[in-house]
Order: sequence, then structure tokens, then C-alpha cells
Amino acid sequence: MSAPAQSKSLKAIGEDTWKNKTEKVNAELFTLTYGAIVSQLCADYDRDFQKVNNHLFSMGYNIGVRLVEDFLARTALPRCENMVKTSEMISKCAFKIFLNMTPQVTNWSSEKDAFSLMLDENPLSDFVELPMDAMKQLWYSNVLSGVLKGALEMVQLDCDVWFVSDILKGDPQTELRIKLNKVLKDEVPIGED
Amino acid sequence: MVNLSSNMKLIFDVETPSYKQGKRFRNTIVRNPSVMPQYFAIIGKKDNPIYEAEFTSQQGQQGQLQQGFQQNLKELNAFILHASLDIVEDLQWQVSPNAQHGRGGLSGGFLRSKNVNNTDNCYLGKVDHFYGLAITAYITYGGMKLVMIHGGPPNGNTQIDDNMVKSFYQEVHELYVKTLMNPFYKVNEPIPSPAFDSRVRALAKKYLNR
Amino acid sequence: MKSKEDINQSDKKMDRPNVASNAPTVADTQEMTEQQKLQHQLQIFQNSLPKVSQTAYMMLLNECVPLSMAVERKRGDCNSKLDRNCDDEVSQAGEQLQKIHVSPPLDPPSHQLCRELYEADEEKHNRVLDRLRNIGFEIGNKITELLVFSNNPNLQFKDMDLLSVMKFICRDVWRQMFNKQIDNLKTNHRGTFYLFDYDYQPIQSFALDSESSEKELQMVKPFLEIAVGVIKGVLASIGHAPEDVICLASYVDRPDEKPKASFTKGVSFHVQITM
Repeated sequence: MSAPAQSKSLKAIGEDTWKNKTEKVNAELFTLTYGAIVSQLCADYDRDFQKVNNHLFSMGYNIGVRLVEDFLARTALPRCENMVKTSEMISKCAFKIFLNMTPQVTNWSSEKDAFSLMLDENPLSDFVELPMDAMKQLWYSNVLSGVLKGALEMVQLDCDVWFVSDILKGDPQTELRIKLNKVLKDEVPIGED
Repeated sequence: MVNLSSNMKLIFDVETPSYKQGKRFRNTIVRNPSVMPQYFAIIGKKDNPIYEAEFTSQQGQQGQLQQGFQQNLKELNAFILHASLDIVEDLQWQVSPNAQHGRGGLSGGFLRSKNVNNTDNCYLGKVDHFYGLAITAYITYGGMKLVMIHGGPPNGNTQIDDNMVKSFYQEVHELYVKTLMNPFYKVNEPIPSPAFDSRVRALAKKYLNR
Repeated sequence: MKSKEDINQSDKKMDRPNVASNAPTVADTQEMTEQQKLQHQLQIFQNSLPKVSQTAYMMLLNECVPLSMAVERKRGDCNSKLDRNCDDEVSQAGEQLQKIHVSPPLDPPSHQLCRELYEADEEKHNRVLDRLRNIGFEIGNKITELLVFSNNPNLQFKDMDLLSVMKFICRDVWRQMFNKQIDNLKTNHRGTFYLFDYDYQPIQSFALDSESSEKELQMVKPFLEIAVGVIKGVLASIGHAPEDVICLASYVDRPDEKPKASFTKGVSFHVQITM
């Protein structure tokens, strides 16, 4: 199947699943809930934002390892052969189905093992303004990094996922980077029994 | 709900200094007929102001920028507003005549609904006046009181354009809700955001000062 | 054995306000059409609001439980070592990680954290539950301003019309969060309320084996605490300080006429407000 044709159908699958097979809640409620979680973490750690970042990542990881099952069940998509297909799956399908977003895929590395997602809209961080101390250190949407890491690990891809920039910190855009470390060969992922 | 302490009512007592200040206040307005400022505040649950701002029109004699309320009388604004809070709370307790129509409908919508005019019921209109200055008010669903003193022309009472004022309140209400969505903002705390302030001022320019 | 109503025997007869019906009581045809129009408009508006998937939302909500346990764990660890050492270690590790972009240290997996929570001593357990209630409280406290009061846009503050507020929670808040309303509301009209949700959304996916063992029920119980916080938060935003509100969640049997659900127990929220 040629690449453009497949990416079109991925987009169609994503939109169709979102429209017809997904129960929805208001994004504002989602924003409010995530905000309450971040706020509680900041209080717990007395604004030690490094620890908050780590917990958000962990939380995301634990969500991601389960969320990917839901994703695969809903879409019945086959495994991706390479990172290019993976990136399309993530941006056109996964983000669409869960968050109704389609981030842009850019900044490919020369070996095609790393790419960036540009999040121009982000339901997690709507209406959020970071106080000065948080702006320097807090990656507000870090749960997303964790979710992607956990989800990708479940499909045998060991990746690093991290935020490069964030509008909330005053950067011009929000960029999330994904880099493949290695393909896991039937290894049992960390922590599973 | 705690009733506002009645010592706030002293402002209307003839003998208190504030009363005399009030007269002076009004006379200031009389002497500068083109001064048309508004003093706007958002009052929290404990009668604490969480936001205050003064808006002035740009009209000035010979192109000068208006001064707004005179410095030594600015404190009076807070008094006036607090006195009005009694009346605002009384109005809170009344059932709006529109409530009957609302029965059984309008369930579960989010605030930003210009099509479904739920915030119509929040606007209380002119609730009081003080030496020809009008005071309008608006209550949000969470019990935040938006109050405003309208300075105006000295000949009798200030005219309030209800539609414009209501629109102003409604849009400030929306801004407030957006502020609430910020997890770093705690309810009932002052609103420090300069972005909020500049947006409120822009709304004031749009709706209040022609 | 019907243990559905853990009603305090000394309370008077509990009334059952009709929560589910949205039908207007005024019979005037003209008004009906007007209200239908408004409902229709509201529906269109609701559908136009930005959305996310409920799965994503539920997973986020539920993950708060293991997260809160993980926080408790980490704080416990830091307290046992010298605080300074712990902070230094973390911040050094953090800096290094930022340079290499290797993933930050992960907390244990969710099911392990849930088990740890179940096995934790009472003090620890309560701290975790407190954390969950705080999160719920934050949500509840702000959600009031976001939602329109259903029957009474101009809320009556006098006499604190509690019933309207509770109906608001049962209808609007629950529907926003869980896509369904509270199934049953009972009150003695003196500040005590029972909210029954026989198909409490967040726990539906937790399959228990048919015996519904006590241990498993206990392990799921923390997942009710965020809703407890939400209820308290909504009440606080109307003026009922959290000190005046007691809210407790417990399991109840589902009524026989309800179709079989994946989770065998319903949930009841007992709310008591001191005036």
C-alpha cells in the first residue's frame, strides 16, 4: 500500500472512530480535572517541580500501557513496520480518538528514528497560566510524554519521549519529541507479572 | 449566608465623615462635567475584593487624559460598593421572574452560551444610587458579586445603558470562568493576572466608554 | 439480603424527589414549545463544545488513586532518609536526565500501587484518601461556575435551598462527569441526603469475580473518594464550608430490576450538612 493512501485511510479511521464509536465528555471538564491533579502535586511537593514532572510522567506511563489496548481494540490496526508509520498512527489516529487533536509530525532525524509532534491545541492546558517559578521548570503536560512512552513500549518500541518546548513556558510552540532507542523483542516490559 | 455587617450602612448616616466625603465626591464630579469614570470590582465570598479597576473615558478638556476619581476619594469607592452589597444580597434571595420559564429546561449547559441566555438572570441592573451615581451589580453562579459605580453627568441621575452594561458584565463573567480554569488560581483569591486586567479594560472601552 | 438503605432509623420518612424527570410541570402548550426550543438549542450548543473521549477521562480520573499512593510512597521514602540527601539525589538525577533525555524514574505499576494502598496502615491510607478528596474538591469547587444550574438559573440563596443544589449535583455534575445522572436521591429534608449510583462509571471496568470478595471491594473503595471530594467542593462553592459537610461513600446492593452490570455493587454517597 502506498504511503499517501495508507495515511489517508488512517485519518479516516481516526475521524470515524471519534465520531461514531467514542463516548465523549466536555474538554473543559478534562482540563479542570487535570488541573486539579497538577495543583495537588504542586502542593504535595511544595512546588518542587522536578518531582511533579516525574510523577506526571509516571502517571502517564501507567495510563499509556493500558490505553494502548483500548486503542488497538477500537481500531484493529496492524502493527506498524517503521517509525514513519508509527508517527502517523499516533498523530492521525491516537490523538484524534482520545483527545480530538491531530498534531503535526515534523523534525525527522536523518535516520528516521526520531520525530516531533507539534501540539498547537492542547485540551490539557487550555486557560492555564503558569506562575513565574513554574514557568522555569514545570512541563505541565508531561503526562502526555508518559502516555506515549508506555503505549509504545507495549507495542515493543522502547522510546524516549520528552517535551522540547511549551507555549506555557513562553516558547513559541509546544513540541513533543519521540526517539526510538530499540525495538524490544518479546521482552516482558518492566513491572508486568 | 452571613449578612453583611450593618456598620457598612453608616455611610448613609448624616453625621459620619464619609457622608461629608460623599458630598465632596459628588461635587468633584459636578465641577468636571466630562469626567465619566467607572469603578468596577469583583467581590468574593467573604466580601473581599478580588479585582478592582477604574475605567475612565478618554474625553478630556483640551485633549487631556482624564484623572478619574480623585485620589483622596478613591477609598470611598470601596465604601459605596460595600454598602450596595446589602442590596445585592437581598436581590440574590429573590426568585427572578424568569425562573418560572426556566423550570425543567436549561439543564447542564456550560457557561459560554450566548444562544441560551442563562446569564440574563445574573444581571441585577441598577441596584442603588448615591448622589446621582448609579451602582449596578451582577452575580455569578458561584456567588461572586460584580459591582460597578458609574460616574456620570451631574444633572440628576446617571443614565445606565442596560444592554451595554449587561454585556460588559457577561463578558467579564466569562473571563472570570476562564481564570477559574487555571489550576494555579484558587477560588476567592485576588486575580493577579495582567492579561485579565488588560482584557477587562478592553471590554470597558468597548461597552462602557463611548 | 437487602442492605440498600443504611438509613438512620431515627430519621423521619425519607422523601424521594423526582430527579430523573426533566419534564416541565407547566402544561401551557406555548411554553412547552418554548422550552423544547431551549432544550434543542442547548443540545446543539453542548454538541458544539470541544470534547475528549470518555475513556481518556476515566483513565485519568482513576489513575489518581495509584498516583496518590505513589506520592505517599515517595514522601515516606524521603522522610526516612535525610531530607537533604534525598533532594540532592533527585535534583542531580533530574539534571542528568534532562541532558540525556532518558526517561525519568518510574513509579511502580498501578495495580501494585493499589495493592500497597490496601495494605497500608490506617494513617497512610487516610492520607492518600485525603489527597484524592482534595483533587475532587478542586474540581467540584470550580465546576459550579462552569455549569448552569438546571431548574433555577437564579439560585435561591435564602434558606440555602439545599434540595436544588443536591439536584444540581445529581443531574448536572454527574452527567458532565459520568455521562449519567444519579439514579436515586433520598432526603429527610433536614440536611441529610443519600445519592445512589447503581452503575458508578469509574469502577465499571473493574471486574470482580462473582463472589465479590471483601478484599477486592476494599481495594476498589478508594476510587469512590474523588466523587466524595467533588460533592464537598460543589457544596463549598455554594457556601457550605467543608467543616459543615460530611460525605461518605459506601457500597449498596443494586436493585433487582436493574440490568446486570459489570460491577456488582452500586454506590451510595451519604451527605450530611449541618446548617
